[in-house]
Amino acid sequence: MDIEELQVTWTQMSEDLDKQKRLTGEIIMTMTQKEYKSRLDKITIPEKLGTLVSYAVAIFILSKFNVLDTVMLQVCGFVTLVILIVLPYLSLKYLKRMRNLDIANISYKDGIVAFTKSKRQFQKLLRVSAYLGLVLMLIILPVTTKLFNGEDIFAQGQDNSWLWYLPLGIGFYYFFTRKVISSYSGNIKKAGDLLKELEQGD
Amino acid sequence: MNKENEFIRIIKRNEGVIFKITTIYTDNKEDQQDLYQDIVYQLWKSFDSFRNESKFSTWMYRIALNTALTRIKKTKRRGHSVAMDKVVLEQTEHYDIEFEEQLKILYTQIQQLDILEKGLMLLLLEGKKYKEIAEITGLSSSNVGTRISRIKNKLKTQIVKN
Repeated sequence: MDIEELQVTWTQMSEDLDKQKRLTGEIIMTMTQKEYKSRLDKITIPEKLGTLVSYAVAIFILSKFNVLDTVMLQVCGFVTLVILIVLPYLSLKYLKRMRNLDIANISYKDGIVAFTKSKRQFQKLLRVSAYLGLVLMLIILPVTTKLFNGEDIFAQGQDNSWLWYLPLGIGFYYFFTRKVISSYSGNIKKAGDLLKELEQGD
Repeated sequence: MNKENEFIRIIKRNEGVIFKITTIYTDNKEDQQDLYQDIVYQLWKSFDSFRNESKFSTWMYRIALNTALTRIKKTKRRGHSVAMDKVVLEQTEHYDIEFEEQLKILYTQIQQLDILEKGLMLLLLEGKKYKEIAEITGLSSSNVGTRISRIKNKLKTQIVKN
């Protein structure tokens, strides 16, 4: 099948589609109702739930921050708070920017540029999040151990034999995120190439 | 004619175009329906801005293509992936096997293009002139020409490979 044949197939399909009118006025006007829009909004629910959980944990740590009584624990607590607060905020901010594209007033090219830029930023953030997730996994341990059990794992004389499980956790996390990170890296590169091409194009 | 009736008339006249756009930007029935509804919703939301424009089709293609753009991300994140032929077969149940096969090849070729190329290819197949394609896409007419010839070469290579 060559390009001319593709064109012929397309035209034939278009003619057939024009013959088979399926929509009624009622169906069309139902589609314009807000309830359909909200179906699409549901897609961001996992992000919103994740943010809620992160903020709940952050508020809990903040409310008990005075329990973290050594510099090491306070540093771990502070970094944990920063990760829990800043990352979900940025994630929602980029998603909002992608959704708020001015669909009616921009050209397809400008739409692609704006959307690809936001998407690239979002994917970069996801890649950073994957690395910071590992940091979080490590630093939240001393914080939660102190807050829930009152034990300082940095103090000498503590039974820290369970820490031997840590490499196992890190290994699992590494394999779990490696594919995700490489997939984001590929997408970010592709997005960058497209942007470069579009910006040089005119 | 009131706004609602005018909108219904225009959508009815263009339902095939919207269907074709949703088919090339999605890979399963559920996403296709969602995109269809989203395009109609966005067209309705922006309908007042159309009244000041000279050409309806330019306005409609621009909104439909931009809506499809924003839906791609959502679709990918949901991770759905169903064979392309399911979408085609749903619409073409009354066609003969040979034509169904041609449609599958057509959609498969288009699916392999990148996001900008897909939009250009769609407009080209729709019979749009370079000037109108430039108006919809925001590219210059000469750039449209260059890109379209690049797409044709790419398709030739794809077709030869397959």
